[in-house]
Amino acid sequence: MIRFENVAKTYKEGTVVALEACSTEIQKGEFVFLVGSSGSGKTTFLKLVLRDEMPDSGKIWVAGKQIGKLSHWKVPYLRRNIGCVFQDFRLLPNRTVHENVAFALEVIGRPRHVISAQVPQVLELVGLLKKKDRYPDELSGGEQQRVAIARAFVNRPLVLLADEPTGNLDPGTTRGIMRLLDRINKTGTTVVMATHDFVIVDSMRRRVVELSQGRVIRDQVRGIYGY
Amino acid sequence: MAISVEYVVKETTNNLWRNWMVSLAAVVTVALSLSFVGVALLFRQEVDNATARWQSGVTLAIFMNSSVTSLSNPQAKAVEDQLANMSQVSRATFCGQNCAYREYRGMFRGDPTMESAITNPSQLPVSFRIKLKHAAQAGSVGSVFTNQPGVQAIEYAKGEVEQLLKISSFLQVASLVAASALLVSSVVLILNSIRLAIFARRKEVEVMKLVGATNWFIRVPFMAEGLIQGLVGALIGCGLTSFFVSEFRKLIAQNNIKLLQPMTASAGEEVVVYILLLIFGSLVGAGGSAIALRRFLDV
Repeated sequence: MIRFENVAKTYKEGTVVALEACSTEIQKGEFVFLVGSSGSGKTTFLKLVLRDEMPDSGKIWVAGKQIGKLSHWKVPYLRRNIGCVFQDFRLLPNRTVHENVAFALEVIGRPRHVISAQVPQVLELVGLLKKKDRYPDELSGGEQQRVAIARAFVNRPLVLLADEPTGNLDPGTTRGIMRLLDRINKTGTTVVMATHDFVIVDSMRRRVVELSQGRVIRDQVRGIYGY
Repeated sequence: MAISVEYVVKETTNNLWRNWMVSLAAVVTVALSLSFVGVALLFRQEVDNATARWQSGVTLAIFMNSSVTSLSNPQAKAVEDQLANMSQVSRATFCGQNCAYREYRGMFRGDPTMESAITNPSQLPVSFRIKLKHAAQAGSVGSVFTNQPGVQAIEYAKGEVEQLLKISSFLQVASLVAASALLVSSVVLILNSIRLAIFARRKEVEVMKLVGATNWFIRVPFMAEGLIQGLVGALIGCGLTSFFVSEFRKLIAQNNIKLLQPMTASAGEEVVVYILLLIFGSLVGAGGSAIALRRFLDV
């Protein structure tokens, strides 16, 4: 599903190294934790998958396509196969929960009957159907992250990328979010989650890829946060 | 991918409604700057028209000696032939003694002393009345006949004409400069207010890119919004222009400013200016949005 081959990425004209000779492969349906200290390249890894950034060298395949060769106008179509969740939720404050989720379908041109069928379904999945007419600032952090997950998942993407999705949440809420991501993973969606939270990594026992100074230094099936 | 009209209409109206303060700012900017441009353009047109009137109205008159009483006189004939061969002359008419008498009576109607001074057409000189193609040539045409046998006097409004022409050409250049300066400043103002509006919504654009909206899908509602703002602004600008111009005309009429009275523009010319404003407003609105979005759209 995702394959990195000797990928290197630097910022500020080569002075800051984010990734260096990074190679790894993630299969369809996997749940992968991307761990490592701050600045180890986790966010860059996710941005490269999303083609938000281009690698300096090396090759990246996502969903069977080498994205370095993807022409500019095809990038939106790549992104429709990738859902994204962030630490800061990135919801639109002037739209309701329902509108925020529906927005993701509207902007890719889905017809109205599809939207009105799929949005309540996914809101039910994240447990927020009753709050569909609320605005983001009327919700708790955990609920906002559920809305963000609903928006990322409503399009049934092949891959769900999560960049520290629980970074702003308390442990109880975090467990709820993790259960939700686990359920999404069980539908066949590949989940890649960058995190600092060793408690959840240790308790989930999923594949762990550890980055350090831009290199993969550990890749464990059913791993834990530290050694 | 087709963009549904319904989506564009919904997004555009929603956005205009949600960001009505910013929309209002953009509309007011467009309206004010375009109304100035419109006034300047109309003013230029009016000066143009006024000059054309002055020019066509100019008459050069050649008065003949009292010995010349009709066109059959060889000296009059010579002047007539010469005028007919001059390319600067657009029309030359002969005014005989009866014509001069009619003119005299008309000029001094109700003035008993003047009326009693001349009682017979034969007391008046005959003359040629000449219309020139360009008012500026009055002096050179007149000087040709100064020493012609049978010519008594040449009358033309040389000084006045030159003054009028000088003023009108100055006005024309000045209003053109003002119109283009206002045009440039209005483009900058409009672009800036659109950029502000889009900057305020960059999060929305970010989310749209994140979930895989194509660039055109992001662009179209913004451009439609800019188009509507530009169009509404231009409409108000047209209204303001017509208001300013009619007030200006009232002022001229009230204060009886002779020099400016011939300054009018026909309804057709006004409509052309308004159409120009509308086209310009919508182009700047839609184009400005597209340009302002470019920064947020590079993938």
